[in-house]
Amino acid sequence: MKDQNGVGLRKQGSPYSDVECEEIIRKLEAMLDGDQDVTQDKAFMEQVENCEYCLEQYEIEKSFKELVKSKLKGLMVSNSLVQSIKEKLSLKRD
Amino acid sequence: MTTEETISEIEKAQLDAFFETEMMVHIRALYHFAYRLTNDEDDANDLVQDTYLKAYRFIQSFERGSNSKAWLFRILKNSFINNYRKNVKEPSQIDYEEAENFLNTGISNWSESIDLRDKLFRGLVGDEITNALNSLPVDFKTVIILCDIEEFSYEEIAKITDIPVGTVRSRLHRARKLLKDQLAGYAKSMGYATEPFEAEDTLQFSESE
Repeated sequence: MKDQNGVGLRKQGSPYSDVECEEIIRKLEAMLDGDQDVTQDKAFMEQVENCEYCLEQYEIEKSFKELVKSKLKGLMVSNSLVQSIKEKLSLKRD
Repeated sequence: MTTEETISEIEKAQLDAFFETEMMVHIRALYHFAYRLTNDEDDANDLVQDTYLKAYRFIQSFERGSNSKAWLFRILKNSFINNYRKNVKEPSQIDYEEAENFLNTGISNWSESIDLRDKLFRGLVGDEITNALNSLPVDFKTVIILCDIEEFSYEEIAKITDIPVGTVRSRLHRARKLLKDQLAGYAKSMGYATEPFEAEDTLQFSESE
């Protein structure tokens, strides 16, 4: 969704430009990943709250992260692997 | 036994105990990572084994008190690149540049509606997520595993993958976009989501040109 000049249009529910929304969403993503605590940044949080689109994206990112995590966890390691590593290591020790 | 020999025996025993408590405890996570990278149980087993043998050999270079899990993951990732990457079948007609071009051409269709999220997620099972993840270029796949499954910090991911933190951030963002679009494709093919994806099929990488 871009106009002829390649300038991003605003998303529905957003008072900001596409570029601004993208920046906000990236910060929110980093927050979900535990990289940035933006909750203390009042100006930023206000910005987020003013944008329905960004809030929606935040929810999507959050659910998506949980989805990936929940569906991809839980592979079992075979005991034989553990055993074989321990045997090889004990050979190295001698 | 001389005093020197006794000391070296003690040191060795301490080292073994250290290896057991600090390194072996991460075997499950390492296997998981290896399996996600190789898509093959035997390759994953070999890779984990190589990793531990290397870790043991170079244990002196491990800085005590630093993150042992990240250290092992880095060894595993490097072993994978050196030994396995060339053998693993990757759907990597999609290379970086192509993927980036694709992502820069437009706004992901994913974002259209929040209702869509529920529609998409409802039907997806582990296999579809796995397939979608496997379809990503390996560097994209790696950051998703490290961040979302293993919960490493950006800083740790940067160390494991030897890329700057800023690159971790942007690569993750792109990887997730790609993954979502892949999943949207599955959802579409299963009939969970139809309308929002009809206008433009983001899975056609060739359309990015």
